[in-house]
Amino acid sequence: MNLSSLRFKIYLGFGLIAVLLILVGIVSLLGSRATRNAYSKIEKIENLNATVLTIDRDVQEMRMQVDRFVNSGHPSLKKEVRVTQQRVAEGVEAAKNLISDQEGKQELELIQNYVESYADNFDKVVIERQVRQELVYEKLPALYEKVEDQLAQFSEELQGKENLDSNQLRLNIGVVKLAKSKEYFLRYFENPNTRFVNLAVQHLNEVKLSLSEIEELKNSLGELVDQLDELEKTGLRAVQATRSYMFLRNVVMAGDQSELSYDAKKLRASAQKRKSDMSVKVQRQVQRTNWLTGGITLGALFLSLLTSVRLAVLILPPLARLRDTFRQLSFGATLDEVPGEHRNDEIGELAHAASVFSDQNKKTRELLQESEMLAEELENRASELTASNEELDRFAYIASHDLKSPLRGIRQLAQWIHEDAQDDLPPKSREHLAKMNLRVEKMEELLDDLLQYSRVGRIESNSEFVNTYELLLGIVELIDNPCGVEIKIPSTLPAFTTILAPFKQIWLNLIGNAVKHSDKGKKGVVEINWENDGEFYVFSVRDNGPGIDEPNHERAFQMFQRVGNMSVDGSGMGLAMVRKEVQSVGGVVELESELGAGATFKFSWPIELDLVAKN
Amino acid sequence: MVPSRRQALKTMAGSVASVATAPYVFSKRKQKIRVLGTHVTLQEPIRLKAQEDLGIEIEFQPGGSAEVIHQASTKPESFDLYEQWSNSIRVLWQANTIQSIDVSRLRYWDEVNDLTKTGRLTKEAKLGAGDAPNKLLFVQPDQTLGSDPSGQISFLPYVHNVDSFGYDPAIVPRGKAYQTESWAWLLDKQWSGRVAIVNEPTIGLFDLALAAQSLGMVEFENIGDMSQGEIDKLFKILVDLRRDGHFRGVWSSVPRSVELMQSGEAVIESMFSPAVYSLRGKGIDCVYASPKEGYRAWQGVMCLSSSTQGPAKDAAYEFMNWWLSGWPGAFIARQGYYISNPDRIKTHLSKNEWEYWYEGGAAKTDLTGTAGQVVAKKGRKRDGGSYEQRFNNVAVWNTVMNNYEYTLSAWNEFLSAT
Repeated sequence: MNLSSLRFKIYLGFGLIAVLLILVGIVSLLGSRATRNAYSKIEKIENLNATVLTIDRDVQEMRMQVDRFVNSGHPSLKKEVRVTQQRVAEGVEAAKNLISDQEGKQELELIQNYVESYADNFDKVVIERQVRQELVYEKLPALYEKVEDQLAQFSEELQGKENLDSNQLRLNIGVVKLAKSKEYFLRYFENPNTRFVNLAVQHLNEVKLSLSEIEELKNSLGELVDQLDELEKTGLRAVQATRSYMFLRNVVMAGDQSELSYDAKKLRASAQKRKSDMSVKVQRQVQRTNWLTGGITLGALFLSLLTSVRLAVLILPPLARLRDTFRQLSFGATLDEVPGEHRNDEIGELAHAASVFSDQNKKTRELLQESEMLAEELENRASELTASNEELDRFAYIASHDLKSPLRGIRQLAQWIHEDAQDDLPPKSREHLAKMNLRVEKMEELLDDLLQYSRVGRIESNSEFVNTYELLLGIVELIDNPCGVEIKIPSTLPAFTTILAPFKQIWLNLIGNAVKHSDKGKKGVVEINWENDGEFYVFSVRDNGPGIDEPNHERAFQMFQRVGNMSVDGSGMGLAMVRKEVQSVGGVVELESELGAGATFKFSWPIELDLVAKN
Repeated sequence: MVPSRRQALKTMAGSVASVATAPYVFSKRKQKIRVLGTHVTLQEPIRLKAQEDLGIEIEFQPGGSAEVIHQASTKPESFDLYEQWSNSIRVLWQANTIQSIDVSRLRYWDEVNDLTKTGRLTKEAKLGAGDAPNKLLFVQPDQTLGSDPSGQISFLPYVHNVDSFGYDPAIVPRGKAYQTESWAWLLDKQWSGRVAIVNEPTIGLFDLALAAQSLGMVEFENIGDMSQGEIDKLFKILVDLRRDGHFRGVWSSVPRSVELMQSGEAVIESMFSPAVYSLRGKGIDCVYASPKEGYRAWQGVMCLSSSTQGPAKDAAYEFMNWWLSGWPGAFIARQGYYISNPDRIKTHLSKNEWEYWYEGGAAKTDLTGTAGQVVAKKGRKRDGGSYEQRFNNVAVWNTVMNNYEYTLSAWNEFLSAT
């Protein structure tokens, strides 16, 4: 492609604009896609936030449920905790699917670990709470009852034995200490404090100590000591169970929960920050997209303007100049230089075309001048020819006219000789005289024809109304038709105003020739036809005579030229005269014939002479 | 049936006699013992070395302090030996899940220094409040625990240390040991939101109580045995601070305390020595404060499960003896812990190490920790100085107070305050 062409420049300009517009589209598309993605992420973050918030709330709820369970030990509350635990675990799993960054995943892992640890520790709390429940409410009272019964039995055993008072006192002390130990254990379980445990254990030991001082019971004390040991062990186990679930609940689980809440809060804060960052990013993205699309659109507009101006500058002034140039050229002007011809673009091509026009105009002008010269020359020649023809006609007329007079004298003289000396003259001379007479007649006939020919077109005839049919009927009467050739004349032949003399002469010659040259005798037929072609009537005379071969068609219309049967009388001027007369009114004469196939002469004659003369 | 401690005591005399009459010969068959404890001492190199030296199979069951004390106090059949801190002794002893240890079977008992036996390392040292180890060590004739020496002890004294708080000197301006460094820093509002506390009322509570006391916010008649009123007052302050967002949170394991400081979430926190050296090993400077109010001290205890008898018990004794045999003390010294018979570990430490860890001297070369990482750069001195200097400044021992249960509820209230 020609890089300097206007087409290339237009394509380039619009191509660049199109590229910029496509760029705007791409930027908008990418921008909107990025915005959509960012909003999708924001939505995800919001979902994550909501999920983590739910986890946190569930954890708080679980804490309260655990507290309720720890305080009451009611199994139904345990189920509540399990349900909430399951919900928290599901929440963590759901949150995992919503988070993609590593830090967040680690936070969730921590949360999950805390949730699992929380659940494990709750299991232990449940066990310990149950252990305590059984020990405090079942086993410990039973053991105390057993020891109390034993002490009552000892009391009965001591009745009637020595040292009853002191022994009873020691036994009573034991009973009181036992009751005290029970009271301290119960106080511990009501309001846990290590001091109560120590006191409970101390009182149990004092029971043993007090009873060991009763000599009468030494053999029976073994079982009681075992029962007291079992009592202490059971009480301490219940204490330990209490401490265990308290420690698990208040320290371990509370610590897990504290960290869990912190991590959830941190996760939410980090999600919130990501959301804020994302929102800022979206705003920037939108702003950037707007700037970009706006910038590119402005660029496209500027480029469009620039392209339009540039193309206008490139195209319009040269086109205006070319328009003026073509206008000048249309008036036939020729130019030495066409504006823009040096350019290598479409304007240059147009300018080049204009220069071709200019060259053509130049040639046309030269041809016109030449034509004018030729026309002038032709006119001169025509004038010369006319003059020459007139001279020739004048000569023919003069010659035929002037020659006719001496010829008539010769003929008179010969007549006189014949009359005077017919008998005196030898036969030979008479014969010669007769031949001379014949020759003179022939000569006169030739001169008459020549005279008549020369007069064609020179004698002004007046127009008159002619009925062609009647005219031809008259002509048929005039001509010599010894063989009786049939002449067919249509009665429809036109009647119109025309010059009669040449019109009649033409018909005389053509019908006369047809009859004269007929070789069919009585079977000879001459047929007249006509037609109207607008300005002319076209008449035709057709015969069934011997016909004329094609090479002699033109010769048949030349002066003194005879074709066909030479024995037929004639001067050879008839058809020459017909053509001259037809041509003198603007018509044409044609011959259609073949040897042995008859002949048809057609001639056209103006319907209105004035119209023909004008054309 | 699980034999009770008292049943064991009943048979103890016979056992001692048999040991006295026929020297104990440990049969090196593949006996297995299960050791329950925390990550502080249950470390794989120790387990492997012990297995190699003793020819027994050792299973470590490491866990968080709360988790293991719960297990130890409720399931004596699930372990043979229990390793933790002295504050768990009262709970376990009362729970009857541990049995007394016969000192005559402890090969290096005589080498055990006065700290555990008297509560003081030197005569001039101040006696810390709360349960100093000597108060819990000896089994008294009435089966209670006390400081009067006896042939039965409730735990093997082995690792011990003084704890304080650690801080990031890049954020918290470095203070002067025993002069400007103070527990009060834990409650300094400058570090609001970046303070972490160990999640254990028998430990973390004292950190906070020392801090509040230092600031004059609360007075304790005996910080080692707080009254309910004092506890209420302290927790009122703590709950308010927690609601103000002063605390980042609590931690339950040494690795978690390291993560908190490493991540920058905490810049000052309750800390154990291994965490400090772990951070330093990672190239993160961390100062282990020497508070002017004194340290919170603790005694590591190794207890024998009340369920462990027979060959397992023999193996458990061997493991206890192994711990005081030198190598383990040297190993544990490299994470900042002391051993109760320090002289025996000298041969397992370089002079440089001994001077740095025990004498408070400057490191002559870079010193590595238990994992081989550099924990003390050349020229650096141990925070707080020598073993003696540090243990002469004990403010309180980790303790299970009489109001222990009351502190548990208060602790929950503190943790749940939002």
